[in-house]
Amino acid sequence: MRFNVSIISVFLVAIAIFTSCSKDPKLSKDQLDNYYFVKVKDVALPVRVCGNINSDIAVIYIHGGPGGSAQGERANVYWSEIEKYYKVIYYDQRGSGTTQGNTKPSEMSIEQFSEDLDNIVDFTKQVAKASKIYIHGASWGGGLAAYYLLDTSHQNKLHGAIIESPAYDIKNGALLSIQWLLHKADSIIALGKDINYWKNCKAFYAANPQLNYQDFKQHQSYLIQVGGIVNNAINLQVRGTSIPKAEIDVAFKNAIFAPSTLTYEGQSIFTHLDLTSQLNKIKLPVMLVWGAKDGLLPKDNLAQKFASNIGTPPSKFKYDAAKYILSAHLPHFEEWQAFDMDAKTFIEANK
Amino acid sequence: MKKLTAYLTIVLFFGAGVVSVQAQADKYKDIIKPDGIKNSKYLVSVSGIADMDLFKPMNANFGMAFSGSIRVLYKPKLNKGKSAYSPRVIEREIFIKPTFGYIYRKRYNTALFFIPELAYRHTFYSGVFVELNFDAGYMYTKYNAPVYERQSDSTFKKISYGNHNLMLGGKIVAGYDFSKKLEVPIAINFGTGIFYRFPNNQQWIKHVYAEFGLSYVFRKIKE
Repeated sequence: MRFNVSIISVFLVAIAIFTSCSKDPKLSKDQLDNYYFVKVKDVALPVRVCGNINSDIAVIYIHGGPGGSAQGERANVYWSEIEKYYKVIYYDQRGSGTTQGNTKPSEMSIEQFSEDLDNIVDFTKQVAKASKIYIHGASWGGGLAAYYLLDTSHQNKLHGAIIESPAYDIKNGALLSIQWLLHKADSIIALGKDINYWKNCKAFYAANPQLNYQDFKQHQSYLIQVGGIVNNAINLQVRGTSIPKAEIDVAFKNAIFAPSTLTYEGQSIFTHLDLTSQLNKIKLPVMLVWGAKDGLLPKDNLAQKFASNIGTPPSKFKYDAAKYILSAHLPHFEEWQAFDMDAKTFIEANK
Repeated sequence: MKKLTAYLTIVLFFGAGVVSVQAQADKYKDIIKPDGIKNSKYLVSVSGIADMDLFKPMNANFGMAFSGSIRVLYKPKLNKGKSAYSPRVIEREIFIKPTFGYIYRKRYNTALFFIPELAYRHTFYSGVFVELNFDAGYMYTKYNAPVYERQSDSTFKKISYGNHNLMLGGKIVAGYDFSKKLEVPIAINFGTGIFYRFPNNQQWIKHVYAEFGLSYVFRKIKE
């Protein structure tokens, strides 16, 4: 019997040691890295609060996709610079990334996502103890940020918004993106490279002149090949960071679930989202950033249209059309040094 | 003369063979009574679980399961051994295994589950066994970080929160039952399985896992 007890003891200790092994980056004394969930209806959004523990300024990062995640975002060195000075809130949207729960397809609307974001803003004030809040939305996150800002009561909770390549007009943006890609395909064909492949690409768009969420996967595949999403890859820098031990199948399924179900005014965002006519409701300080080489939401037309329609006074609206000439869709990755400088300047000027 | 000799040799050879086979069969019938191999058997098991995300980089999340095995059906089978005194008994058993367990995922959730497993175990005469399990049960996923909810007055309150799930799956296990030949009441097993939990955004979520277990075997020969 003693022999049996020994076997069991060794076995239990081995398992206890095995399960306790995990790594997390070391924090300096003035840094924090806390993890929470914010429950809204039947989901609990994962929220990571990182950065300078003494700062009363927080930047809420709104990830792209739709269906993406903010959990790996912290690896981008851009955030290590921002975290030195401010708190940064990384959260995953409903039905996206590592978010658990059981949201219904009927709740997958930009209206509900905006309500979720409002919960995160209030949470940041009350639990993360930051009185001055900025939001930073990139791509789809930029579109969600723009929608959130259409409500004056939401604007009153913020000190400013950093909006990067925003998907505020997917309806027309998708058509511009197709035109951008067809132009690239013609250029490649003219050079005599992979002629059949790019002719097939053109045939794909002839057959699918209006992209739905299913076509977007193929569209993104073409864009990646011609640097339409990341152009300045040589400047990408990442650092080690831990991420939640989420179920990989949840992340995979959410990446399909969110784009396939997300609606604006009851219809698919891919064919109906266009906030252009409402942008004049936005009055708070905004920093707009757009990569010159963006093929997913081409800068030509979309950036100028955003700048022309926004209601923010020129003194509070920061946009330099001549900057970020090396970047495609993600300037805070591709030209993070310049983005870091601009973001800090914007935050300090409006705090 | 040669033909006659050959004929007699054949008759003697096969005749002797028939006689000997009959004699052996009678011998076993006398020695091994089916009642003699009947026994009662229960197992208490503890298992380590590695819930694996088979994606680069591969990730494993660990947990444990505790189960009791209650035998509901036993069909032993006798095979001939080298000696009449060492019969080869193959055990064919069906167990119901009430199983409690957990899988821990840092900063995500702890899945607490209860599964009344149904298992078929085939134990060879040497003590090596294979087991097929079918699982259907309940899983509660408790979030592994503070959960806050905004109240009607816009303040945030810390709450206890998790999700209820249905769990379906199965596993295949192989192992060695030391109690069969060595009379040490221990069995070890390892195996792999798959389970699905429902719902997450009204979808089934797949898990693949590996398991290593240790069992204490309560085996009592029935008189």
